[in-house]
Amino acid sequence: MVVTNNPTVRDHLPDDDLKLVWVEGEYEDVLKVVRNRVHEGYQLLTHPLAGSVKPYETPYRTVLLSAQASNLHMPSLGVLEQALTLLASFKGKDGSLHSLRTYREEHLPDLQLVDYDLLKAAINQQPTMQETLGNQERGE
Amino acid sequence: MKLELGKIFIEDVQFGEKTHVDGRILIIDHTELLEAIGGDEHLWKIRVDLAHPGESVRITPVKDVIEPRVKVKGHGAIFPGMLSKVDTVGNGRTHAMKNVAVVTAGKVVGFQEGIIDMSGPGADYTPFSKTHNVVITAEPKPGIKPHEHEAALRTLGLKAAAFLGQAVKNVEPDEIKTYETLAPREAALLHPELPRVGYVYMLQTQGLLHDTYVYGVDAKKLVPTVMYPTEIMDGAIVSGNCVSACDKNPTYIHMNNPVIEDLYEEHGKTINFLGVIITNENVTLADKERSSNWTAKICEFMGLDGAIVTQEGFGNPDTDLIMNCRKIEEKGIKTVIVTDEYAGRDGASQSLADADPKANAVITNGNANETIVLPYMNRLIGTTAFIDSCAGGFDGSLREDGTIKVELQAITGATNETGFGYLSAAAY
Repeated sequence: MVVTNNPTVRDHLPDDDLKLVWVEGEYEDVLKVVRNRVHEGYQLLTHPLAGSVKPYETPYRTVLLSAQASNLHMPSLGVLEQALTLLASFKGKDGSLHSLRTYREEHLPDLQLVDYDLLKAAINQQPTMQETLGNQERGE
Repeated sequence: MKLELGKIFIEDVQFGEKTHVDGRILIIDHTELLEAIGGDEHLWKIRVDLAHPGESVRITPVKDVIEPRVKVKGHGAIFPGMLSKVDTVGNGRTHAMKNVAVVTAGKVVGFQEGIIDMSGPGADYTPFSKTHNVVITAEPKPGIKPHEHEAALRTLGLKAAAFLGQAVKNVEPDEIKTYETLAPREAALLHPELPRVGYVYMLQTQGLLHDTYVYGVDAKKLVPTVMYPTEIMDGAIVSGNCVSACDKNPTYIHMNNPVIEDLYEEHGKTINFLGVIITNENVTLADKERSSNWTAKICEFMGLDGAIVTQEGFGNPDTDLIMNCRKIEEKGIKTVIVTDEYAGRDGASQSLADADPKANAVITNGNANETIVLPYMNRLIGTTAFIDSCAGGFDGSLREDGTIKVELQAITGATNETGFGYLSAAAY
């Protein structure tokens, strides 16, 4: 399952079998949707802070989750909560990530591309993810 | 594996006839250099500029920095798998042209970063204000994709460094330093009383603008493995990483890794330095688990008593760093981690995205969120059109008077996580 607010990911999903969860919102909104899914028992497959582009430097975020839900996966929740804590530390006095920096309209396609490429790098590790999912189903 | 590294200290770089070293001056034939780096079907308008320490010059956006080197004796050639065949390098003799760096610059994507100021307060934060820089800027042909542009610019920089390295092949070095690493069994016999120490070298490997190559292999496709430190001095690890200027490892830093240098310095005195374990920083959590499992396994296999782990980049590699630390410590091996911080502009926020009680020995290389005002520079190589939108920049960064207010993370090498820069923390 792909949770994203990146239009390039939505329009060019690298794998037709992936379920798309579209988030009309910002970086943090994506992570909150992901957190809800993790609470439902889905497992995080990619790191919520993938890439070195900081959360306040890009509006886009794409996170890959397991296809099936199972028991609550505590490591996934731990990683996600850490990411949300870090995100909070980047917020300005107005509570917004944008107070730190604004990216320009003309760079949005490049920011979409980098986010999309990080997803593709993860998709290329597909067997790895199946294995992860398998472990989870065996209760590991 | 034994390598003699001959250092030739250059004091000036000038354009002139025929590329050679005259005394302590590197003369570069502009036409020869352009011919050597060759055209690339993806690039046009390749331009070469010189920037010297102390000049009022700003270079941005910087992609990579590379030291010119040449193999004089031994197997293979510099940058194996990238420019030359995949012979195992790291033995024999290599000459390094000190005080000179090839810098590649130019826009690959819109939000790119990397500032080198050759003078002023910004110069104090980047190690590359002290080198004579041969700056190559190249614009892509219309319609070229960022992947192709990044690869073309990366290759251009490596070719330029290899070409300039040729100029010191037959020059008698000012200094020769010998580095030797034995196989673990022999090393243990030689210094049985000293603690066995290994270096865990984390490489940024995530995707576009976030990649590193080992003998030409995209390191995200590797499982952790062992290298002789001298292989790395011969350019076996090459940077394709353009994001997070302050704490990425340019190729120059791979070649001159200060952790390796210091471990060799203490080798045979206080420690027995056994070698380098390279590992990656991939996007999937399963990869992070596997790679950290393997890293800890290799540390155990090598019989280490202690390990030093360095990180590259921001955010998710914190998870790799902590996983590595925890799992190596769980093997009973004392572990030190080396990182930098994103602790907010006041330095008061949480520094890393992950933590563990076992990470009880941490070295920081500075807070990347700290801001600095860079003064106007008389000459600009590249463009400041992206300053507002580069990492560490923000709206209004580039002021009307030409000064720039940015976070340190915009400055190339400012908080480098191998300790190549100048920042750290002290207790009061």
